[in-house]
Amino acid sequence: MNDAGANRVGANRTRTHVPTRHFRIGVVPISLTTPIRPLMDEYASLYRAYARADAGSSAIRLEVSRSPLSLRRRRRYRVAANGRLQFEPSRFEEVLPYVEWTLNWHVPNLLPDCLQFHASAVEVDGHGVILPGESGVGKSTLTAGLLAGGARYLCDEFALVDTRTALLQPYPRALCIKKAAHPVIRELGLRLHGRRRHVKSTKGTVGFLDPLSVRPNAIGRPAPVRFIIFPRYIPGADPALVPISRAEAAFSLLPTCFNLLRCARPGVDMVASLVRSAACYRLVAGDLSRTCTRVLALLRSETARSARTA
Amino acid sequence: MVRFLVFIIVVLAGSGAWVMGTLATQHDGGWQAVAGGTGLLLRLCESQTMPSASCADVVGSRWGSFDFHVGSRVVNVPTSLIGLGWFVSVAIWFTMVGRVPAWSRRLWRFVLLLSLGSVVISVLFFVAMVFVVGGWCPLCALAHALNLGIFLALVTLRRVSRSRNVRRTAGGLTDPPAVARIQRRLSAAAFGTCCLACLAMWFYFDAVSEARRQWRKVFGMNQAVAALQEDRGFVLREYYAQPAVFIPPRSASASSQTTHPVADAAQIVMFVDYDCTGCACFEGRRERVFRDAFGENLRVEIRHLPLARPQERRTDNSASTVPDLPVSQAALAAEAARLQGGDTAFMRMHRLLFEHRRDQRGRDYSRLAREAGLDVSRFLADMESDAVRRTVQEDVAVARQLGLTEAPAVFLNSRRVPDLCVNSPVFWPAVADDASDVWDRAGISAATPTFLSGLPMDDAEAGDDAEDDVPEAPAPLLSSTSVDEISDTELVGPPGERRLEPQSSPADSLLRNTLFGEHDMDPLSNTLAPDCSPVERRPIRVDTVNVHELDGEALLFDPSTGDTHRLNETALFIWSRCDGSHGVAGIASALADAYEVSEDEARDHVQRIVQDFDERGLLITDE
Repeated sequence: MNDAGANRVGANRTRTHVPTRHFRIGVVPISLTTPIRPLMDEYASLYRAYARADAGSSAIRLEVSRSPLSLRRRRRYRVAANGRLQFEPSRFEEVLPYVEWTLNWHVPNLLPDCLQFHASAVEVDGHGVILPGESGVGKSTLTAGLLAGGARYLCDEFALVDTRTALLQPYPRALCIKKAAHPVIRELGLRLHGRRRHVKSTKGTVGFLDPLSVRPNAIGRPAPVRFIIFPRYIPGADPALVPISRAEAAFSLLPTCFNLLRCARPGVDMVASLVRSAACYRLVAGDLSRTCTRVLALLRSETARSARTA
Repeated sequence: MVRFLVFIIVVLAGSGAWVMGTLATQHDGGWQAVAGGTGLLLRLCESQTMPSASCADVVGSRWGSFDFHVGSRVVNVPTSLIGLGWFVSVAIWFTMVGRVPAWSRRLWRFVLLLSLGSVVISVLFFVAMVFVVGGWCPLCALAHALNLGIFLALVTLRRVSRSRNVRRTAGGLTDPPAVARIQRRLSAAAFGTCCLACLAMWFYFDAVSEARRQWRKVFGMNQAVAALQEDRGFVLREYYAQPAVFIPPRSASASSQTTHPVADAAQIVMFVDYDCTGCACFEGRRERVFRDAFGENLRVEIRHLPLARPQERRTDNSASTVPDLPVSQAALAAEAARLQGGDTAFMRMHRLLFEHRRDQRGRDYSRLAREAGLDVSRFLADMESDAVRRTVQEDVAVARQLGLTEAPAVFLNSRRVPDLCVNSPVFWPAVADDASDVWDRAGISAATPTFLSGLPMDDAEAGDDAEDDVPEAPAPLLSSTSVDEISDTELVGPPGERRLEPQSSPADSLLRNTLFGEHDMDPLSNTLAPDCSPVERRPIRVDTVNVHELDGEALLFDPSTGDTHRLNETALFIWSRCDGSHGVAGIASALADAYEVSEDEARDHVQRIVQDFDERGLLITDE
């Protein structure tokens, strides 16, 4: 066997030894390659409903490995996407959150026609609801609460609005819930996925909530944006929904858009169009169940009113 | 022999602790900060004789520290800190116990095994340093050598102790049981102390790291300030950005004033407080700084700004024309000295007051008057006189008018010298050079009227002979940096802050043109040329800006910068009229009609908004 043949065989052997699995989470195709079995098992069980035989050539190729043993350097995990190293976490607990984070970075490249907001999104009776806000305002917890209250899940942390159709696209990744919110989530009767502890650098200890574990049909369909609600969690506060002007909503929504500069003018046009077609509120969120009841009541009454008008 | 060996072990352990402590402090990135050699040991790493030394590489390698998982936290513990604990423990043990008792074989074995283990670890680390990391750290090697030395000393001590014990046993002597008990207690105490010392070292390391970080921040800030103070352009710009203000002269009756023989001298007015540390510091080097910069071409007038402190302050309401102003006894003393002995006596008292600022029982003014060569009884009477008090209060009133709240406040040619510039090493020479440059460029002889009369630099030479020459006109602006440097600062400032006096000289006009860009100013008449009245501006918005009207408000997106702006209703009203066909007055008039506000209010509003648009690059510039 010549040298080229030997290389090919070696390459094939490497490829066959490192397991790869494919997923399609909403509109985002992913292939994950990792020799770390616990990670693969955890990811596969978290996204078992989205497993595919092949993710296609446009998929985001995630590779997680460990750095080689060295006497000179500490051993680390290496998270790469499309062949480029992104993160080198030192602990296994950090790997899954970093994989999710890596995905966040690559979705804008994959979906150039989508405006991406730092927001959660749910669908209620065919109407899309965006919950934009910075980290820590309570988006994920509120989304989990709405999900438990009957809303259908579209996305967490990363809301995708197709600029061609102006529809909210589902990207149903597992909800990332901070440790402080775990008791509230349990009170709602929801169960976090697995028992393993995950550590996210900015959020501390987090747990993942599989939306399909809430109910089988928990994932929503593409929906037009009808409500934009800016939540703000204030411990012990009475839940309140305050209507805001469209200009204020647009001005608050723009900073949450990840790819505004890339979209530039069409992006701003789309944001203006979204706030024109939606009812905009600020939400003071206190007790989760009361807040969710309040929000769902508003959404349903507005939905019913618009249906009557139509 | 035994004591000598114990002493050797303590010395070796202490040296090892010093080396390890030095290494431990370098783990938070401090290596680069001290490169260049502060500290005796660290210079080993920078030594020219060891060009291959790479202490930073070794300390930063994977063998330089170890991660310990504490809950969800990972604590990174430097290897040198562990070594520090070991050396400190050995030092404490042999300082407190002295030696391991010869009759306790188990204890000896334990100690020797511990030491042997540390030597093995030292060898492993040494091999890792040389062959794995591929670096060479003299400090680490020194620490390993010291550890080996301790082991050898321990072995020797064991032998010596055993032979002594054998001799004593053979001679029928045994250690008394009481001594043995004491040794055990001491051993336990030493062990406990070692543990506590290790724990304390741990916390100390954390504290030192934090303190070092904080120090670096402060040090960086100090360096930044020092860099600014050494930037000639910056300090000049800061100085010339200050508005020229009118400092009312003292009334002729209030004090004796002198005029310096050189008419074009720069003029400095200093407001000082005799209890202020900053004033005392500045006073210590004032004369040298001013003399180096200006030579004899300077007049200094010292005025009083007693800051409100409880001691030595009192308010006078009796016969003063300026009631309710605080005066200080020190300021009264200075003015009383002037009243009796003129400016020479004033300066003598001025220095004495600063020198005796921190007298434990307060200043003894009688003694100060004697030292200044004054008639004490007259001096004390003058201190209580209305004239003296009025002089000080006038100074305080002027200081209040000028908005001064802290001392020293230094004015050079009517401009306040910012505090950053007062202590700058380059400012005074720079401003003096700059002044002479501008005078040369202007080609004007220095026959400028001045309003300040004050003290010459050398009071002994000036004496009291020139009196009562108090011109009324304010000082001219003396100098400038380049036009570009100044105009950026000045043009944005509110014009009303510049209190330029009507009787300014041609030099004043020319320099003012240079400073403020008022190029249409007629240098002779000092008035605006008639054909230079400003033309009303008609603002034009940039057409690439994307505008979305949303319920009476608007969202603006500037694609060139990526900035978004939100306009409220009135701002949108103005924006919609920024089309080049409406002037500011027209827009203001329309705004006044639409929103039922006064014309003046509307004009202010429009001007502010248009300026705001301008600053954000939303309007087409005049070019």
